[in-house]
Amino acid sequence: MSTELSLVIVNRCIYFKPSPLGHPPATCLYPILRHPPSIFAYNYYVCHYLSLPSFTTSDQILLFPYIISCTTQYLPTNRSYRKVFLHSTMFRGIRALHTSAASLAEKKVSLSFRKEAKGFVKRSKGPGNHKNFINVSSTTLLKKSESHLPDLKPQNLTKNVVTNFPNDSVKALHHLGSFRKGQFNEAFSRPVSLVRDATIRLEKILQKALTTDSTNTRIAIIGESGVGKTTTLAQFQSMAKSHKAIVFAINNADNFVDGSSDFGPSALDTVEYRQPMVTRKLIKKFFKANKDELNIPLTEDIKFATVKSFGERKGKQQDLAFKAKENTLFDVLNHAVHYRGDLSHCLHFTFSQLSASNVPVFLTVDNFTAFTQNPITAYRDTKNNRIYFDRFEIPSLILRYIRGDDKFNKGGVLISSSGKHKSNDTLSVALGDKSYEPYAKFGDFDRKLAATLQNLEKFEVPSLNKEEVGSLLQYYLDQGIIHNEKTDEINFESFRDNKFFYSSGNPRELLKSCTLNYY
Amino acid sequence: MVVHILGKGFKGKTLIDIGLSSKFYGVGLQTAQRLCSKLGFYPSMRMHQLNEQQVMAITKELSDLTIEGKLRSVVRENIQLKRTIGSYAGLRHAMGLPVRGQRTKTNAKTAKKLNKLNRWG
Amino acid sequence: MKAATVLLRRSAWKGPHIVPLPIAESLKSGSAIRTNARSCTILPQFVGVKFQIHNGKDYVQFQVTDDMVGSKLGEFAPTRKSFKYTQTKNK
Repeated sequence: MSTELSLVIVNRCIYFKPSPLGHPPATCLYPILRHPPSIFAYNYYVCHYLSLPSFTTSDQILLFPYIISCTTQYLPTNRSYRKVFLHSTMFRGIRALHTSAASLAEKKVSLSFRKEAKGFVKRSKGPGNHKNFINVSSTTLLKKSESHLPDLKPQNLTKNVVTNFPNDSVKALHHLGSFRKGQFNEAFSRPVSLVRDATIRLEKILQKALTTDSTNTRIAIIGESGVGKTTTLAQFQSMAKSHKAIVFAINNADNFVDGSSDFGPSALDTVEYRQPMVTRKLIKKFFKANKDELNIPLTEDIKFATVKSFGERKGKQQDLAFKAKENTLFDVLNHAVHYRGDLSHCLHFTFSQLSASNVPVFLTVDNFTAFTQNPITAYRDTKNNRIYFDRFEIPSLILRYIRGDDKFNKGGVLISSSGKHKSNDTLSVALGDKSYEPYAKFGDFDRKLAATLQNLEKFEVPSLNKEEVGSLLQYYLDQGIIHNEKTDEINFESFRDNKFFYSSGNPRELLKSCTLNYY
Repeated sequence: MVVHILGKGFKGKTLIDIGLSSKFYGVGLQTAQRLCSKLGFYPSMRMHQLNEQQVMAITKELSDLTIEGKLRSVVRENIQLKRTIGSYAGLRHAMGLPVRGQRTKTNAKTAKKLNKLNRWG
Repeated sequence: MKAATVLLRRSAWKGPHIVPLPIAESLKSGSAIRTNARSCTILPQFVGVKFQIHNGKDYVQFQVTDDMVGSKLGEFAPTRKSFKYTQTKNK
């Protein structure tokens, strides 16, 4: 057999010159990365080349850890070589036909729990060794390839086009926490989204909301699990940011009811309890994401009492005050993010200022169904009775804006339901999807909350149709994130129909079916 | 980081109610939860977050309860009373056998381990 | 003893389970009451009375004290003989 195979190693990549056998492509590029988790593209060609006797043993050993897939179709045609290939000890370790990073991720998870390590599992004790699946897959899927896509611009939205979130808003959205781990954003160089019918409908709502007060725009985004409610909300936030609107995003309503953060008696008259840690986080996020739009002159004064830290000198210290008309909201929040004391008065001040100003403001709440599912929170009062969620500052604030007690001069309130919560009659009765049952138990239906939520307008995100699945798949193919298919030779039409059928038009299922493999 | 409450050490990362209920004889999850909500701790608060005053407050609350040695002596007194009046339950305690009519041909391991006049557990 | 453990045993409306016994006479004469009613609850009025309670074979005698109130009469007359090993049966 010919031994003219030339191999050049440049910068941890191997270039193969044209094959002596003829069938693989002219020049192939295979990155050999030092860290197994970041393997992406290894395929049958490497195996094929390795089966050639011209390779020295050392080369084979070098490449071996990175060989994952091998299809019988590309085995050497010569029968004797085929036999050598199949029986060579080297290839006994070939795992499977799948090479996606996520499938490796799963392997890694199982390894991390195998205590009797065989040399390559880290033995160090301590936290961080046992990542769960979602954390491993989100780090291993990391891909930095550049893609050139149109930006998501509110002025000219075209249906069925995969778009980037524009540069000016993507940073703000990251600050606001609009992108989640389970969305597989890591598979792309930057978060992308498909312009759908829902996006265009939402854009019209946005246009209207930019000029009218927030009682005219109170939207509840609903839809089945994985259908893209959070993504649609992110698109809305992005478009709102493009219009220089202020976005106050609460990206997980669960944080207020699950007892995960501290609480205490509130200094305000209207509510009973405050939640200092989440309040601080929200203010920080809000400030970082909206820095450019916050130059709103104050209409009232606000004072921050001095907080003495431990060991500080006991001198006469003055409280810091911000004056109406002299200072802006930016100054207040810039101070607030470094302020060590209670921030709940600052949050309420911010909202009153936003309501008074003429800048469009959007309050968005994701996973709102946390409130309908657990109206009685995990928190308990001093008598050990559980506390209803509207007795906390921030949830009651959200409800005030939904009810219309408070309103922004321009802007709106958007809430989004979550698929992870148990479905409950409260929201569906409020939105008119179900009829009111007078004898329903409190756990199934919260009448008081439903009365408030009646002010919301239903906005349903439907499943993808065939064309939308097609344009998404085309993009995935271009990006090379589909590893478990022989992407060269597929008939796109039937491929699309298959995927459409299996995912039943659910974008999350579609993306899972493309990126994840289960052994 | 170890937090000490009434002479018992708790790992810093332990949830307060779970830690208390696991280490004190006579404090179950419900008692511990009631104690936590009385002192205004939030449900997922952990031991290392307690400051000195809060540890003192927990100590005070616990010392008002009948737990540990106090509770053990109460249990012993009750058993002793049954023995002195000559009732069947007292007799069974003295013999180290089940008190409430369980079988003794097999099993009865817990009773053999624990049932004594000077019961410790 | 906790009050609850007594209260939870039996419905309050039923009252304690008792059978007619000649308590007053016995207190006067000081003679023991011989009975088979093992399940009769000991009431405060019984204190000081001597009982002979059937244990299945013969009658065990004891005098009721304050601490016994609330228990059953049968609790103080064990029904089983503990096993003792003997070399010959006729001993």
